[in-house]
Amino acid sequence: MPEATEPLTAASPLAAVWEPGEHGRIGPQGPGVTFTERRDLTLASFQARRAGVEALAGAASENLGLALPGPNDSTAGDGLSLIWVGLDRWLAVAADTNGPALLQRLGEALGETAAVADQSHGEYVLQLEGPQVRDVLMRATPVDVHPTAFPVGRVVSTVMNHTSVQLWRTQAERYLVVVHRGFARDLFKFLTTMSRDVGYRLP
Amino acid sequence: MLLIPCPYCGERAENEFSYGGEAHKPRPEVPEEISDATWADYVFLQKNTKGTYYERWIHSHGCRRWFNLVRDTLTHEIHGAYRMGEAPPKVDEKTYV
Repeated sequence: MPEATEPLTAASPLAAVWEPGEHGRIGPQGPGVTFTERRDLTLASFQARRAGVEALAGAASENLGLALPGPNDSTAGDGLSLIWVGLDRWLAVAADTNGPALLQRLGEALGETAAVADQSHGEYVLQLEGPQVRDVLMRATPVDVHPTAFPVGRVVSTVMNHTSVQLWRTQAERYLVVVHRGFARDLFKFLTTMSRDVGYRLP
Repeated sequence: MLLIPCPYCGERAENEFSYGGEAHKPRPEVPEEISDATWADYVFLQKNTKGTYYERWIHSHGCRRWFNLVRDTLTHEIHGAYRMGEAPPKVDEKTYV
């Protein structure tokens, strides 16, 4: 086995295509949308084990202080959010980069009721924010993003540019797109193309 | 584009789904004891009704669950979706020939 010469460092999948600055048609109000890499988050999936969803829901509310969200919904607590991704599957999103700590927290809280797996290395989170973010999403997805149909907190598993994503509205003008890391660059190019008309900023 | 009412996620666009063919098609109990012709009938032949059709779909980009749909294959009218194992909704069935 070859000797490791340098420690592994985390790299962004968008490093080669991320050009800081303003792009596209910038109007008098400034860029319509700002893209941000949310590499400050840790993600872990968990799924109900044999004891069932009710046992898992009980453990989550008792030990995490969070209700398990239902279909197309999320719940948020102190530095930790849960989002629904399937019938008995959820994604936990922590606002720090300490993967082992999140796994330990979930493991201790959920115990035998859930199977937990770190997804931080496999999933990539891109944030879109700005006054015209909805115009961009209306071009990018057939999902109804009207505020009455897509309130803050709603999260849907859907398809964007032929790729499975989770689209999550965390604030009035802020959406997170969770995508498999290998598709991140392609999706970024697609979303920035959709944003050229409103102008976009890459910090 | 069809707007398909997933029984778990609600109405979503067709491109989130994949098609699974005819629903309520019983698999032969003992495949090795039936003739090739009967097996080929099961594997390859579908009713393919021009009219009200009971079919399987999977929400492959959403909740990843299989479910059944009642759809008019001529008009694309969707009469309802129901979960696997549930009884289909009562529908005024039509066949156009």
